Amino acid sequence: MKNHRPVLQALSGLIIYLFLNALAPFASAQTLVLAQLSDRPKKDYKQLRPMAQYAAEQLSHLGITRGEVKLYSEPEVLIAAIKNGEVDWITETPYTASILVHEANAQPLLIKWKSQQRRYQTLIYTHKDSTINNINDLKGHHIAFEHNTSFSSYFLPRMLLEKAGLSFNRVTRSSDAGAQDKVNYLFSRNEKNNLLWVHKRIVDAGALNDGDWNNPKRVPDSLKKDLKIIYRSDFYPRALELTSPQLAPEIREGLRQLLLGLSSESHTDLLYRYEKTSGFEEPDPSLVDTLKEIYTYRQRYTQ
Amino acid sequence: MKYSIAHRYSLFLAVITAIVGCCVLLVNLYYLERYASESLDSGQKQLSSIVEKKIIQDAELMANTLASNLDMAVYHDDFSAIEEQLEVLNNENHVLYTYIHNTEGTILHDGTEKLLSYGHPITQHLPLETDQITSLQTEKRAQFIHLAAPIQVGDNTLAILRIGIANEDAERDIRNISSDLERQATRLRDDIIVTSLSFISLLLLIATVLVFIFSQRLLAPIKLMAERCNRYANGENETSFNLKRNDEFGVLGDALDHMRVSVAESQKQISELAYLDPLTHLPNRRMFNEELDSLINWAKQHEDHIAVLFIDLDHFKRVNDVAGHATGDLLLQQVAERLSEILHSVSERVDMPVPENLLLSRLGGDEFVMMIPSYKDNYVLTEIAEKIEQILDEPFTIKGNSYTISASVGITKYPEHADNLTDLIKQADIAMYAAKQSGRKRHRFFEAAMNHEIIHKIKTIEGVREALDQEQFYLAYQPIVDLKSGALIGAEALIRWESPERGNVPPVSFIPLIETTDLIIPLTLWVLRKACEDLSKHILPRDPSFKLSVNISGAAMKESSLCKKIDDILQQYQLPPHRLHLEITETSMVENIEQCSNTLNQWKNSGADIWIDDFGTGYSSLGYLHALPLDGLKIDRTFVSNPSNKHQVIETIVALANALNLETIAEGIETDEQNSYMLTMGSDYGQGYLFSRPVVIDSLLNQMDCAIDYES
Repeated sequence: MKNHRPVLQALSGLIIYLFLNALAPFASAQTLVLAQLSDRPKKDYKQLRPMAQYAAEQLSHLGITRGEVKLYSEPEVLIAAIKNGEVDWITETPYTASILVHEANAQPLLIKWKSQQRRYQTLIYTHKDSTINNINDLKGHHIAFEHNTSFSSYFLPRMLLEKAGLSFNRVTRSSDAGAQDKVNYLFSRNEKNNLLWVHKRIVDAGALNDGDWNNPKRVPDSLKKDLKIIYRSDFYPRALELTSPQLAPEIREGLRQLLLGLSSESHTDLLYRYEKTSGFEEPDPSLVDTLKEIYTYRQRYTQ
Repeated sequence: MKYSIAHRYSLFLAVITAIVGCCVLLVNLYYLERYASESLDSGQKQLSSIVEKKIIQDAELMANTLASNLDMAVYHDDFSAIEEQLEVLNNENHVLYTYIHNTEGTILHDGTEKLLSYGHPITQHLPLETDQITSLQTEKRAQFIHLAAPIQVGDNTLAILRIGIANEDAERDIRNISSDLERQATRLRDDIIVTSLSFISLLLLIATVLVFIFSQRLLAPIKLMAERCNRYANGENETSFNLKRNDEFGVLGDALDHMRVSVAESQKQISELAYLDPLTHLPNRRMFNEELDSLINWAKQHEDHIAVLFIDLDHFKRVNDVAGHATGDLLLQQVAERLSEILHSVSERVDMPVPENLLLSRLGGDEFVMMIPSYKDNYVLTEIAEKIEQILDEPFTIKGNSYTISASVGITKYPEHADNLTDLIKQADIAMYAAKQSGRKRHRFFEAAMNHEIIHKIKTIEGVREALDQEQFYLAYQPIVDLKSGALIGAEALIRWESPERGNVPPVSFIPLIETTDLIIPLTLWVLRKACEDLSKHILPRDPSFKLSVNISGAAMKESSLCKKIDDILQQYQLPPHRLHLEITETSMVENIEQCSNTLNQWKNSGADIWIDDFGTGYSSLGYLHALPLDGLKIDRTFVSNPSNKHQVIETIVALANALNLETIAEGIETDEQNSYMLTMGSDYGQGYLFSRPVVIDSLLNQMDCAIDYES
């Protein structure tokens, strides 16, 4: 008897799992779950909830009765949730999206024009009187990135510079000497420190996306006049809408139509609250490659 | 009373109290003010220092806390984190600055977003010396507090946080509190002033009332005394001033009472002097008059009788002359005693309406009057009169000598003889004279048909007394001429009486009569004084050699007092020698030749010449002519008027005069024959109707003027 018990338990679990899976299309049809990785759950919940509810209402003809928001602190949990079918719809940066696409089989739905930006690029800048004029001059110098999860101010520039043949050395403080043959990098924690460090010559160069650079509140002209841009990257999508592979195609299609139908003119308030979104567009076919490239580099950094 | 002492005293004390109260109030206010300002000052200072200390403590705590929070941010150059922390401070108004600098003094953060002063030396922004860069000392400069706190990782100092804080708010709060306190102090002071003034006013009122009551009580005895003084002044002589108190008022009361008694005593003495005869202590003439008058009124009302007995002593003058006035006075006192005894015995029998001692009076000299009211009949009066005669007839013994006098009594009766005071006295006097006339030592009742002559005499005497009082006399001057040259050399002053009732009364009809009374003395003195006045004032200025003769009565010679008074007059007028001739009859000189000689010498020394009047008619003694200091003889008119059969006498007189070196004047020359005869006889001067009748002074002065004109 004793030996049979775990088997019975496994069997009964399996039966329940199968049953629940059989019921799943019906269950998910009832609630539309919008999810995101978040280290600021309160703020993000506020931003996402109205859109989740609006979408649920608009898709009620497809059997959806309510909209819900779920926030995850770890990508692994989100991945699991997507795989489990607990999450129907995800809105994320290209960096996270690349992970979700490759590890949870999430399906890119639309490109989101977040924070008034359809796309953005990374800028590498130095003090105006700096001797560094191109990325190759960065060798043996210190560059400040924001933090290790930043796409535009760490992942992307590092990926691009490495592709250009430069290698990186991590230092903890600006006063650390670093490697002469590598680009020494450290994190400034936010874009404000990044800017000031370059301006006060604590570091030799910094990286910011063009959205921050062009925002006078973040980069005031009084400081900007002392700085110069030595490198501009290609443009990358600002954000992506993804769906769970288990989401019923008609709901996915319904959601796609719904979002595309939203414009700043018709749904100003709704879109603004949805992470200052100004609209959605169909992704390029190149998106897959871009995400793949990102995912590939990510694998290298995290190893 | 215009200003009562009580009022003044109360007012004075009220003013003093008010001044003292105000002074105390002012002093209190001064110290209160000082205390308030000093305690406010020290309070403000103390409060400032406490608050400042507290602020510094808090600020240091804050700076240290902040510094310890900033360690990682500074370590990592996390400007945004530093800014976030400092931003909290910079949002405070009173934070002046925040700086973070490294130990070399380079600014790492200035609290602003743009970090504009990054990399500057801190000494550029703060007043710090180079050696103070690492100083962590908290400093207070003016109203600012400068703090520093180290930012450390382990024991290693990364940087220094400097914060500047303005203390202004606290200072302002303290100033506000202080001015609040000051307002409270002012309010308190105002309250104190109002309360104190009210209290002082109340006390002042109470004190004034109390002092007024107290001084009223204190001054009550004075009021009482004043009241009694007024009563005394209004005639309540028996008002006592004794207040029966043991204090000063009691002493004053006793003193006033003593004064009252003394005044009463002296009043009594004055009244005695006025109403009593000082010698006999009997009522005097004035009191007798008043008593008789009131007795008459009483008798009128009761239809009763009064008898007035006028008693005059016989031969009393002789006692005076012989034994002297002192003896005479003692005699009069004894007479008074004897008469009082009679009255006493009478009053025992008769019911008198007045006290017995008012019934006997001394009118003057040797005259006494007795009033007998309610007498039964004439017999009683006769009995009394006889008793008087008898008792005064008995000899008086004075200083061992025995003197005998007698008394004559005149009696008159109310209402039978007269119904008024004056008549009753006059009648009693007349009756007394009648008694004297009929032989002395007897009494007579007044009778309407009483001797007319007596009445005449009495009237004459009364008339002369009145004439002296009313100046009815004047002097007539009969000129005396030098018989050889016929020149006017002098005059004799003769008295004339111009009576309003009787016309011109010849001297012969009153002088002899007057010479028997004391009136001769004032009359003689009047004549002398008047003559001296005319001589010095009118006559001698015209003719310095003029000689004026004045008659001095022989009766006057007997009065030693008169002799002195005559000398006084001579002294008074200080006439040149030989200008005044005093004429005295032979007879009067002879009576007391020794005394007379002294008197005459005295007069001569005073500048008068002495002449003998009516020479040859008296009992002449040749001896005295030599003994007396004589200057001339006046030959009596009887010799002159009948010179034929008297020529031997005249011749003798002139010869005698020549022998004694005396001058002569012939009186009564009326004819030329007499004139030439007297000239022949050798008489020096003459006077008589031949030359001039006696004339008034103005006529004499005219004659003198004519003579002078004639001569010149």
